Amino acid sequence: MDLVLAGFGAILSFKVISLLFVGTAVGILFGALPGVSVTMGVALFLPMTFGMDPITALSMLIGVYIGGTSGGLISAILLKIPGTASSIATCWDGHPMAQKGEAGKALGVGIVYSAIGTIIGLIVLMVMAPALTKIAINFGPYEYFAVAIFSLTMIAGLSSGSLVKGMISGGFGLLIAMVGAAPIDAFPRFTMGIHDLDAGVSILPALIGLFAVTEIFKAAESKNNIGKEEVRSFKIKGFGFSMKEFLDQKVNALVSALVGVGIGILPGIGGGTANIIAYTVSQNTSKHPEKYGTGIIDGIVASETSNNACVGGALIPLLTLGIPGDNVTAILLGGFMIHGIAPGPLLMTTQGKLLYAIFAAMFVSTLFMVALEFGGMRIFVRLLQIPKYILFPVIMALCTIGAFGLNNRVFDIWVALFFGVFGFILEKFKFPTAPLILGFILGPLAELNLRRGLMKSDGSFLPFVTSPIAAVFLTFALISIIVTVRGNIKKSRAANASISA
Amino acid sequence: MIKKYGDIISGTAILIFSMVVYINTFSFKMITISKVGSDFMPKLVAVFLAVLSSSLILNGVKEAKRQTAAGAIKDTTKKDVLDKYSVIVSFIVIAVYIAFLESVGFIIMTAVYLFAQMLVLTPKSQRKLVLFAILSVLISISIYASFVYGFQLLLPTGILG
Repeated sequence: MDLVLAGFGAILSFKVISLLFVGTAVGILFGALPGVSVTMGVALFLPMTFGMDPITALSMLIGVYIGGTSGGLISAILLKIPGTASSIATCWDGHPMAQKGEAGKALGVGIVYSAIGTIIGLIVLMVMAPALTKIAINFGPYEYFAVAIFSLTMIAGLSSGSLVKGMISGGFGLLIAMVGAAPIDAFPRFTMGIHDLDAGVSILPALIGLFAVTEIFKAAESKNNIGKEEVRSFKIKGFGFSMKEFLDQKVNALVSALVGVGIGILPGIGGGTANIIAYTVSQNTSKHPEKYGTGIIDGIVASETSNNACVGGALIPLLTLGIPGDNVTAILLGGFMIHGIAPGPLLMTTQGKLLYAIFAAMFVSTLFMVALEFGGMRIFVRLLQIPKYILFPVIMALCTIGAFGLNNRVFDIWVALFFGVFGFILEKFKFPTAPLILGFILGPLAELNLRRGLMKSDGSFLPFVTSPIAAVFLTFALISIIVTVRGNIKKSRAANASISA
Repeated sequence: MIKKYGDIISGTAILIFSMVVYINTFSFKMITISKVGSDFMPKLVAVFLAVLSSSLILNGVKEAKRQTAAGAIKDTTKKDVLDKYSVIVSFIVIAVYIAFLESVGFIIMTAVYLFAQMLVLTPKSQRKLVLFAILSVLISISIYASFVYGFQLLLPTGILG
C-alpha cells in the first residue's frame, strides 16, 4: 500500500500530470485517426521523452498507449472505419447503432467500458506482477531460453493467414537481430563492412520504419482513393446508457476483460487480436447471439473492454521478464532502455517507485481518457478531418526526429527508411509484420541464454530440460506448435475438400 | 502478377537470401571455446528459412496452376487504383530529405520535404501550392522549436547554424 501511495506521489506534480493529460489526448487522436496506430503514436512520442526523467517519460507514454487503445472506438462508431486494429470488432455493432441514431449511446458505452477494461487490466497487473517477479527472479539462462522459445512459438498464433509466411517473417526478425556484435564473444556478424552496424540494428528505428514509414508508402499508393469520409452526427446525454443496461453487461464485461488480459500477457499479440476474440466469445456465450452485428451494446462492451484490458496484460511480461506483450510494449521496452533501465524481475526491487508510478499513471490516464472522450468528443471528430496529405508528411518528419534523436546519427534514419520499404514489400507479398518484431526481440534473448547456459553446463543441453520451469515452458512451446500445426492441417484439408466438392 | 506469382517470387528470393546467409556464416570465427559459436543460430535460422521458402514456392506453383486451370478469373474486387509512381517518388523524396538533413539543416530540409511530400500525396486536381508552402514552413519551424526548446533534443542546424 505504501508503494501504491508512493507511486501516486511520484506522478503528482504539475509537469507529470499535464504531460499525462497531453499524452492521453494525443493517444486518443492517434487511435481515432484511421491509418495511424497507437504503436506509431508511442514511437513518435518516444523522442520527446528523451530529455525527461524516467517517471515523467514513461507516464506520458502510458498515457498515449491507453488513450490510443480507446480512441479507435470514435472512428469505429462514427466512420465505420476502425481507428486502430484494436477496435475492429467495435465497428460491427457500433456502426449499426450509429445508423439507428444511437451513436451517442454507442460512444458512451465504448468509453465507459474502455475505462473498465483498463482498470481490470491494471488490477490484474498489480496483483500478478509482484508474484511473477518472485518466480522470475530465480530465472537463469535455461529458464530464459525456454521462455524465449515458448514466446517464439507464438509467432504461429500471430500468423493470420499463412503459417509459413508468418514463420518466415519471424525468421527475418531473428536474422535482423543478429546483425552486429554476437552475444558472448562479440564477433561482428552480417555488418557488410558498415561500421554503423557494429552495434546492431536498434529496435526503435526499425519499429518506426515498419509502423510509420510503411504507412506513408501505403498512403502514396492509394492517394487517389481517399474519399471524403462522412462523420455521423451524435448526441450524448449522461453516459448515454441506463443503470440496468450497465448491470446487464457485468458478466460480458468481466469475461471480455479476462480475455483481453490473457491475450495481452501472451508475447506479441495485443488489442488487435483481443477485441475480435472477445467479441466471438461474447457472441458464442450470449443468450441472443443472432442480435450481434445488428447494433447492440454487448458487442461494443466485449470489444472495448477487452482491448483496453490488454494494456495491463501486455505490461505483465514486460515488467516481470523484460519481454514485451505487444507492439506498443516493444517500443516501451526501448523507452526503458533509453533511460538506462532494464525491465525484468529486478525492476521491483531497484525501481519500485517507478513501477508503482506507472500503475498510478495508468489509473490517472484512464480518468483523463473518460473526461477527454466525453468532454472533447466534438474536437476529436473535427480533427478526424485533417487531410492525409498533410498528416502523413508531418508524421514522416516526426519519424526522422525519432530515429535521429536516439543516437544523434543520420544512419538511424536510413535504417527507418529501409524498414519502411521492407515493411511495404512484406505487405505487398502478404507477409505479416508482427512476427518479425517478435523474432527481433526474442532472438537475441534466446541466443544469449542458450550460449550462456551451455557455458554454465559445460556444453551439456541436459539442464535446459531438467530445470522444472524451463521444462514447463518448453512443453508449452511444444503444445503450442502441435496445436497450430494440427489446426493448419485441418484448415488445408477443409480447403481442399471445398475445392474438390 | 503478385496475386498469381507472388509466393513463387518471394519464395525464390528468400531461398537465395537464406543461402547467402548460410554461406556468409562460414566466415565467422570461433572466438570462445564453446559447443555453439556465433555461427550456430544464424545457420539454424538460414536452414529454417530455406525450408520454409521452399514450401512457399511449392505452394505457389500449385496455386498458380490451380488459377490457370480455373481460367483467368477476373478480379472483380479490384476497385482501388494503385499509384506505383507516387510510392517511388515518395521514396526518392524521403531519401533526399535524409541525405541532406545534416548538411543543410533540419528546418530547411523539413520544410522542403513537407512541401514535396504533400504534393506527392495529393491528387493533381486538389493541389493548393500556396497553402502547402505556408504550412510546410510553419510546421517545420514549430516542430524544430518544440523539440529543441521544449524537449531538449539536438537537431541538425546545418547552414542556418
